[in-house]
Amino acid sequence: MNHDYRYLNIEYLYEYLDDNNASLKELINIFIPSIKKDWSLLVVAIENKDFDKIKAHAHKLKSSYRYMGVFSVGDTMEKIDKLAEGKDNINLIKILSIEALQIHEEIIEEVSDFLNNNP
Amino acid sequence: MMIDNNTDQNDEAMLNLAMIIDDHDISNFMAQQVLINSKIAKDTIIQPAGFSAINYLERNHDADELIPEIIFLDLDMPVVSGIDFLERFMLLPLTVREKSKIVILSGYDKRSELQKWVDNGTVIYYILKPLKPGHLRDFKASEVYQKMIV
Repeated sequence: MNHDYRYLNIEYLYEYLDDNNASLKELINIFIPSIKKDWSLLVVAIENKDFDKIKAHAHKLKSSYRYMGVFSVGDTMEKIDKLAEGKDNINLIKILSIEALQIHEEIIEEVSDFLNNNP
Repeated sequence: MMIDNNTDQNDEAMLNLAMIIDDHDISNFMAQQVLINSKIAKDTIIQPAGFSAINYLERNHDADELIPEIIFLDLDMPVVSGIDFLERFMLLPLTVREKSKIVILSGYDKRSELQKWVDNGTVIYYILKPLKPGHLRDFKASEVYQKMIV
């Protein structure tokens, strides 16, 4: 089976899930709506310059990406989390979030591809 | 509340019941999978909020089999945070406080804020998220866990 994705680390996830394909599909089915909701909340918080909410949603997204083995975006979320704590640098937060959102779209394509190829 | 049964028990010494308290769906799912695979406890309950966990423990304080020996607690939750939970936990009946020991599962290192609960024996271990199978292997090898399964 081809697990050659740019961001999605299937082997890492199998380690967590004891090589259980059903559990991996269940995880992805939790991941997709959860991460979409957290992203929409983060975007609104950034628009409103609500640093407490930016911090809270970035923290949650950091955890989600790290559980999925996507550490690069997890690290970006950690940067946003820390910047929001200082209640400053909204422009840098915007730039980082736009970069992360572009990668996020690719991740969603990859997890969707995995589900389509593992019915 | 979600309960999952660890069916592959093989005679390995395990706790009867673990509880995970976290508002994060992905974290809960992964923690539950890792707990099952690590054979820490026979059953796992998930509570998605601090207040629902307190309600559960209050409601069941006199039903020994429903009180978890171990609670994996996230610190960063809305409304009732992990710290709020710990404050309220100390007001629960003695049956709960004596039986349930708490492992902190957090994305931040807030160990310095927890000293009083460490000193009174409520918080026994700290894991930085994301929870990985290796964390629970280390926990199972720890003195605190070994004391719990005796």
